[in-house]
Amino acid sequence: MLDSSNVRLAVPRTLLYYRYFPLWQTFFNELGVEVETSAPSCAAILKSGSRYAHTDSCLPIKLAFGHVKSLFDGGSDYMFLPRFFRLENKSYVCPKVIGFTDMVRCCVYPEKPALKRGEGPYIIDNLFDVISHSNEKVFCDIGSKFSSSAPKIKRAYQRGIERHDFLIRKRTSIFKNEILRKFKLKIGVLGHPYNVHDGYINMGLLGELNRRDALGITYEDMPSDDFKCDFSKFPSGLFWSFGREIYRSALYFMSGLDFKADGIIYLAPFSCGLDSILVTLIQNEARERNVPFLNLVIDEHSAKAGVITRIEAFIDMLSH
Amino acid sequence: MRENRREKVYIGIDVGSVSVNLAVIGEDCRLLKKRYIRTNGAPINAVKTALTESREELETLYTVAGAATTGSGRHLIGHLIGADEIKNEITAHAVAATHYYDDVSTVIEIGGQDSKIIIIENNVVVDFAMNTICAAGTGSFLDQQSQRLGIDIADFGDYALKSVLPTKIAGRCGVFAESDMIHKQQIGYQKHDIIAGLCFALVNNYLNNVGRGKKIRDKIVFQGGVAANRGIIKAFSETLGKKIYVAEHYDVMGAIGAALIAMKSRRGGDEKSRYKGAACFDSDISSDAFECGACSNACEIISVTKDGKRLFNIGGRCGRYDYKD
Repeated sequence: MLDSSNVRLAVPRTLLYYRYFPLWQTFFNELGVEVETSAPSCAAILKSGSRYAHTDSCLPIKLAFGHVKSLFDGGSDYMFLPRFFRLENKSYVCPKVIGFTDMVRCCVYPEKPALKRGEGPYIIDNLFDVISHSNEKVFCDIGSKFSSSAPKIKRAYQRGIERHDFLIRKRTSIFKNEILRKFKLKIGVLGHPYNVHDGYINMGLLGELNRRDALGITYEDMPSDDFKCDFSKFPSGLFWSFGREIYRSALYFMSGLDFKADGIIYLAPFSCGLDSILVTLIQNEARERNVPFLNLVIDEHSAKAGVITRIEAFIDMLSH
Repeated sequence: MRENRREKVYIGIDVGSVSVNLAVIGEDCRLLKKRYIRTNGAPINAVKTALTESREELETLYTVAGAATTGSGRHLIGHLIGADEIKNEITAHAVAATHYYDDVSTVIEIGGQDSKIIIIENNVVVDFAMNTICAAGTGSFLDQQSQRLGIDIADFGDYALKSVLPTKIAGRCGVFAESDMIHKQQIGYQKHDIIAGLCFALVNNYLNNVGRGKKIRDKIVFQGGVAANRGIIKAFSETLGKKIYVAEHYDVMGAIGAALIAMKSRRGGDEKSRYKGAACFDSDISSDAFECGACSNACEIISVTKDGKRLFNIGGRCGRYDYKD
């Protein structure tokens, strides 16, 4: 165990960062660990990531490699790359996300896994699988690297959860009470959080909508408990966690519960297998409800023109 | 005084990947003039040619009361000529289609790099789709294949019509289609059967990708450069089992739409049009790209200069170099 007073932990700004970073940051800070993140996505990060990722990886995974690589030589002691496997019963995280830790080991780390200081940040690769261990248990295991006091670690986890819940409550309440009224058009934006909230990968979609007096509403804006979604029509209950989220938020956006979306934009990387199924599924739901639907496909194109043309045309269509 | 008696006209320019199209319409929406010029990789030059050719006519007979650009080069040219409106091509094509056909339900538009489907109800766009990130099955692919086969693109459609039994070609991807065509040619298929096969493959590809999940109902209007190809028209009508209406000015519908948009936005307004006319090409206009070094995005910025002096920049994610009036 290191003296945690000057331990630095690197967190790549990618994948589940977009969902859980406040929790992680609070947890580690409570244990006296300094948290360092990679810079927001940019062309240089994507370029370096594309060199390490397999060619058939999706765009966000390529970008994720770039984020890890940019932190690799930063002098951090640890790299936070846990394996996210099952976040809830009966559904799984995307296999590329589950396997990302191992892909990084093979592709970014030069030879053997880093075990000592000086061989690149040591990878924290604990498995998050709610069926075998509670999240709290996994965090306690991770925390034991930095503190020998079990109560302290538990408290750090509690603070992290409180922070996470607080931010979600704050976001949904501001959304419902303030933001929702400010824009002429309300557009439900669907996709994996690391596509929807990474302004580089999606060419600034949410900002482009705002500039056109349209609000892009995402999964994070929806109140967590008010809306129940019936998955029983899927024999497997929808296999993927993010798939469940996306489907549920799509139905919420079209429900008219707090608002009814004027349109739905589905943001999908070209090679995402999960999105390719969901796009069709949700397009059908949207058609049944007469809600206009746009599928925005993103890939390594650097020119914004194609995306802007589609957004503009969609907004034009909704404004009539 | 005489100036006021000249007819007011509106200009629309569609700056596409393969061609630049110009349309001039009068107050009564009549099409007074159209030009279709190949871009040949230099959109500024193509626009210059189009406007310079019509310059005398535009400057002596008419008063340009408004101008708009559309197409993928709309921002570059729009800023250059002082367009009053810069509109995306979906809206422009829909405006033109509904102008000529008030009962249109489906617009099929296939251009150089893009293909689109626009679904219209009661003259309003209710749904649309564009090809995703691959340009297979668009005009530039047909261009390429006609060159490879040594056939003028203008005769491509007639070749296809000669075929009685079109051969099957894999149309999913341009690269696969080409190797499939070469394979068929090497085992002895006739050129016209291969070409007709390609037309059917492209139509199937279009319907499966761009048209996926769309309600294709009558009346169907076909526009864009590829609507010149009778082989494609035949393949569409046979595959869909419906009549295909080819717009009279199919090749410049985007430009006509832009001109109509210019007219709508300018009509009744007191402000003078920002349109600078062909005069803006009197000086030496050129464009050049450079890489911005302000952050790690390293955006490519296009810098347009007039007689060596910078006019404006476009491009970049942050707006640092954005065009300002």
